Amino acid sequence: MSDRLFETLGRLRVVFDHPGLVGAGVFVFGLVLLLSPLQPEIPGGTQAILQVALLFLVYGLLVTGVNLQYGFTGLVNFGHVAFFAVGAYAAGMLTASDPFAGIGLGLHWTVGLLGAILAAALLGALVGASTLRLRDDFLAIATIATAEIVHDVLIGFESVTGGNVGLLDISQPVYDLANGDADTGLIVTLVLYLGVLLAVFALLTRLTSAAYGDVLRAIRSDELATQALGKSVFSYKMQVFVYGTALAGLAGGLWALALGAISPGMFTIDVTITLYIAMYIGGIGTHRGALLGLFLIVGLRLFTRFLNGVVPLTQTQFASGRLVLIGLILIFIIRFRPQGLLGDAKELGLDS
Amino acid sequence: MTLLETEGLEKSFGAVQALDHPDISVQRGEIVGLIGPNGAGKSTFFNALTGVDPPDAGTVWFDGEDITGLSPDRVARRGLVRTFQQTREIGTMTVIDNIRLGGTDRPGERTVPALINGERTREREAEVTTRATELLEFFDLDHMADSYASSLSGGQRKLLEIARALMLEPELFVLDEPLAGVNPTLGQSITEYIGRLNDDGMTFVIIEHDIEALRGLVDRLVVMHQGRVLAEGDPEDILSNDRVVDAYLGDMVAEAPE
Repeated sequence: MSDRLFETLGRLRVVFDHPGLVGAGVFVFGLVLLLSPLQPEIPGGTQAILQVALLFLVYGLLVTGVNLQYGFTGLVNFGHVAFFAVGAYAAGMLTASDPFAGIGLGLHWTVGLLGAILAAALLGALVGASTLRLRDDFLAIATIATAEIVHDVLIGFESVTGGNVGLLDISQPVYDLANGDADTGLIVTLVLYLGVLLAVFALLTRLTSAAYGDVLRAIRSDELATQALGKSVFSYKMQVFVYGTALAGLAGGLWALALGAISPGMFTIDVTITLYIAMYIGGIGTHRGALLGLFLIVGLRLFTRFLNGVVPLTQTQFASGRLVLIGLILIFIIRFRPQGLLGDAKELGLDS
Repeated sequence: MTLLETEGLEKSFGAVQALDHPDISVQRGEIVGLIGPNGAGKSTFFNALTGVDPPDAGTVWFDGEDITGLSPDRVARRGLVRTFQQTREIGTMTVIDNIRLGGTDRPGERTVPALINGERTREREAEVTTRATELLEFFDLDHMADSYASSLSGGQRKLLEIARALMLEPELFVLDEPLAGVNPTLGQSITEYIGRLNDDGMTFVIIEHDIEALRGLVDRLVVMHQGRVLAEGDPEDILSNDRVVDAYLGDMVAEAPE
């Protein structure tokens, strides 16, 4: 089975070998599609698939970011969802014109997206500056705390964040350009976001295959040895942490601008856990592995959604069944292939 | 000309005073051997010099500047480079990548040049690889270049660490037991190589228990005992000094089965 999996991935190599070019091509295609008079229609049953595809693309940005932090550098960030949330809410508050309860400045979506990246990066810089000089576990604790605080703020400060309702009427630039046609809007959004994800993938791959990546791997393995070789470990950790959080901000911004409405329920610790499971399944410390792992988890979600209704189980039983299944997969992976599907056991020090 | 000078260094671990004013100075171009029984404070002294574990009090002067308490990476970038007694190879990287990691002035270590990967970045990487390969050949590790460092033997790890540190082209190279676990033939070529680097102007401080290996190599021996300098001077004089023999060599006899 895994042979066929790798074979299929092998065919995808063109995409992975030139992700930047392919990404740019995809992005341009999306723009052309948007500006063309074509109005593609989504066949009834496939709407759900495309919704999940959107989730995959946005979470893809999250998982590549947290993988840069945890997978490559060994920074344990258990609060990645906080930066995702901050990005989404920044974009929401900056662009919503009639957000119901929270703040809505009604600014242009470009301001929203930029604000999303900056806000998340700034929070990342704050958390990083205060904990990255300490032992690893402090970062883990600080990020968990950050995620909890952010989540509480989202719910508690109703006049700012809209409380449990969240923010409505966030700018949806792609839908606007598609003249409000929902199907075209969704398809074009998917194409454009795929372009963004590929571009990010290309940049990160370039970064980690340069000398920069070697320093990160060295830090993951032995900070003191890396320092003794003249590398400013703290500076690298800060950079990587901020890059990852900025990416989460981008993901949040794109998420909000695609959906047009966000609520605190989208930003629970489940998101972070999904990312970590994806990394462990796909392979820690490889960009493709993280994306593959995410693809499998999201695919599983979709698959079980289709099974729902075919098998005589209630909605709740289904939801818990899915979690049990993911748990089992994780246990099998860790037991029989601890480096994950595409990870390198030697590089992770798992072969001894 | 004094390259390194320490003044009133103190360091305690609980009730144990590991450093008690070991005032040591090293002249440019010297090879200094640092000996003493286990627990004399030699490694603690190195840690204090290199910022790995800064001293509680006192000053480290390097090349006329106060470097006390600077972080290890800054100390290394100033030209004071060290190896560790317990080797710290990156086991999850290949041998050649370990050595390359010691390369300095690599644009590819910064985000933007890494992303652009322009001509200068690639040229520098090629230079680093060439130099790393030379060092590997010298240390007889070239056949292991693409193996993961975790597969090296203890002696090879020592060599790897020395080679990697040499990539930084240190002004002062402090070695913590470079010969421990290295076979005698290779040990011989390491000491010869140290001699050659020294001829080219590199200064050394070497912690080593193998007195015989040091005897022909070092210009001066410093004996540490209980965090202090017990004696220092010409190797032959030191090794015939009764106090040294009592404090140190007696100890060596007791350790002989090792």
